[in-house]
Amino acid sequence: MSSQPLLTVRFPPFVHSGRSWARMNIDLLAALVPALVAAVFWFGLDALRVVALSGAVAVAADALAERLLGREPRINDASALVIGVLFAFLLPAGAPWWLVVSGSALSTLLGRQVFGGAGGNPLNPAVVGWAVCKISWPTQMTPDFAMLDTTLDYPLAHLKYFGPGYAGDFPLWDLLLGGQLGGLGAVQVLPLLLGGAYLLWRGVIRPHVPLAFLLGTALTATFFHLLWPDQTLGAAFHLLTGSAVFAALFLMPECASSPVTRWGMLIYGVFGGTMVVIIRHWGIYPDGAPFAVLLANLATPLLDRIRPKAFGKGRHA
Amino acid sequence: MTTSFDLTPRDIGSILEGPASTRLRLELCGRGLTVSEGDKVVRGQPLARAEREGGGRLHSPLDGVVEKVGGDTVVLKSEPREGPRKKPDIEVPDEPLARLRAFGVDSFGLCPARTLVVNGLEPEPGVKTHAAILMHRRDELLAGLDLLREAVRPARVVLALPRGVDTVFDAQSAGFEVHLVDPVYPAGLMPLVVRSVTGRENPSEVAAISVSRLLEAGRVAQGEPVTTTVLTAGGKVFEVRIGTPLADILDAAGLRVAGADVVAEGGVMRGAAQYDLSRGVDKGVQALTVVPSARVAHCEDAPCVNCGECVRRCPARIMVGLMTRHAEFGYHEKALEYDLDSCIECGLCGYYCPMRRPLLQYIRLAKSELSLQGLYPGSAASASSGTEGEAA
Repeated sequence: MSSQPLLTVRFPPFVHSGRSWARMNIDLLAALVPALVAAVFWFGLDALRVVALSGAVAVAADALAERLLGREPRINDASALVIGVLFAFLLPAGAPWWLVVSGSALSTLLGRQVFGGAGGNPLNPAVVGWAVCKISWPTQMTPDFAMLDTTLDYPLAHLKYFGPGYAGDFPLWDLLLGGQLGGLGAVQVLPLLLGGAYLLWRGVIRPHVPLAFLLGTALTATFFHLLWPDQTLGAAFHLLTGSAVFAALFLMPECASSPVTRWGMLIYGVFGGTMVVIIRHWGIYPDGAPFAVLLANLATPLLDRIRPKAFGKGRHA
Repeated sequence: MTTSFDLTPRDIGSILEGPASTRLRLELCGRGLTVSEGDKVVRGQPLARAEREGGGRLHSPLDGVVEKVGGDTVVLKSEPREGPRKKPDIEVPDEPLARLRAFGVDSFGLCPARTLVVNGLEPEPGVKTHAAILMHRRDELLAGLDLLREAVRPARVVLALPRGVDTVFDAQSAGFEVHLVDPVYPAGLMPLVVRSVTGRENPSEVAAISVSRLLEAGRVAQGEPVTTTVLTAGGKVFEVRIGTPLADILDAAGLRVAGADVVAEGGVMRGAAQYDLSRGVDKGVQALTVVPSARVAHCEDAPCVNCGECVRRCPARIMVGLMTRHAEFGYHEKALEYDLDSCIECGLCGYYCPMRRPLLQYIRLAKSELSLQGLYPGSAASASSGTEGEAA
């Protein structure tokens, strides 16, 4: 034994696929870059300011919390940065700095640190921060009030307050390219779709949740439009406005808050998509997408129970 | 770097003779020793009896003397035989399964059954043990099959072979029904082979045996105890005497070992890593693998983020993430509720986990803790050598 080299003794498997959480988060950030560029194009450098501030605060708050709670810091996996950027994408570009700082910190602290850190969050952390801000500071969170020096409009507010006749005038191509008010990154629909395609190609997200969500939105919007054609708009409008596409691709598939089983994911997606239109139609908020995400998150543990029986059990035995 | 999960055995050469080591170090694995230090032994003589139900005895692979007994090991030193070879005195029970055990074959998974499945697929990628045995040891396999038919009395005998390499063995004339399986890991693991053949999972009237163990049974049918194991090392197949030091086998295979490498009895997905190369090879080992240090995966004490990759990859349809989280925090009975007992220990979950959690270790920990309390069938010792009854 003296002449042999010192060997590594560990349990199998001795090899690994190379898949890493850090790389998945970096892919996520990369997928958000086109939308960020578009946001700067439409809203100016304010958009960049908000995203940068939010990202920095999220990382700092997360790291500080981990230190105070005696946990090992996980800065290297970029997950806190992702939360900060996603939160920023939901804010209007004109959000004041104190709102960005509070919301971003709350996203990481209330969104996941109190639940045990990475992987512990029952709800999407960025949406938790958004929800707290939306309810605490509704004025600053409303795009029409936060963005006074712009010629862009907020289509969903038009729908809610002025009706479909007025809101239906929005050319769909403009909506696709991001010529609307709303979350600074969330309204950049086409760049987000490109980013989402990248994530699907890289295997960071699966198609089940986004497709089911968009299907839920489209079907519910179509159904409502058939029932009440004078009070509603069709599927295309609802898919291209607000945070619907952003929620489908970047908020709903968040790992810890979404189901892992196939049917669980599909029902989760459809439920979320349906709730978007329901909240937009009957709720007091013009855009229901982030709240729909939270409601779907709450259903996750139940939906995870929809799964096949394991090996050797049930009808397979 | 992605591992290939292709189980197709390639370049199946002949079965080479293992190294002629002068000292053999046999691991008792809990068996009760029946010889003492200084005793002279002849090849085939029983050395230790099985303590586990269904376990086979251990026999001496050489003529010589018992040099040292210590820990769970017995070291035999080869010495030239004085006089003509005596046939070792082993009483031959009538009952076929008892006969198998008396001659060193474990009888787990064998009982009277309607179907006998013989697993001809390789257990792990890079291994070609079964293919080599099928190609070169036909007579012994058929002799073993006769003995198995006596023990199991099956109505149907099926040989599972990898698709694309089914020409190594003429199964038709041997009386086997052939069933082809796509050779992609973990399709070679016994529970999955049985499912592929019978269409049911863990069915009750099926007995299953690997080609390696069928060869051992063939040895018994010819009146000889089990003293060797056929294994793949460095792309070649060897028949080595049990207890041959791993270092000698690595030399014969041309495998170099550097610091921080993993040397495993078995393959990259399910093998048992070794720390001492002077240790003797265990009975039933089908491969000896060296994983270079640069390729050895590291593990992290990281939380589960519920990405679901393990759930998607698990061939046993287990909610792996949730189940291992319970095992991680000591809730082993809850882990059992989440289908811990369905796990076939293929290792795919840990291979794909992006947080690099030690998933297979949590699973084995839970199984071990539960079996200590009598709540889980199987023995805690299976975790160390990876041969749970017979995995592949």
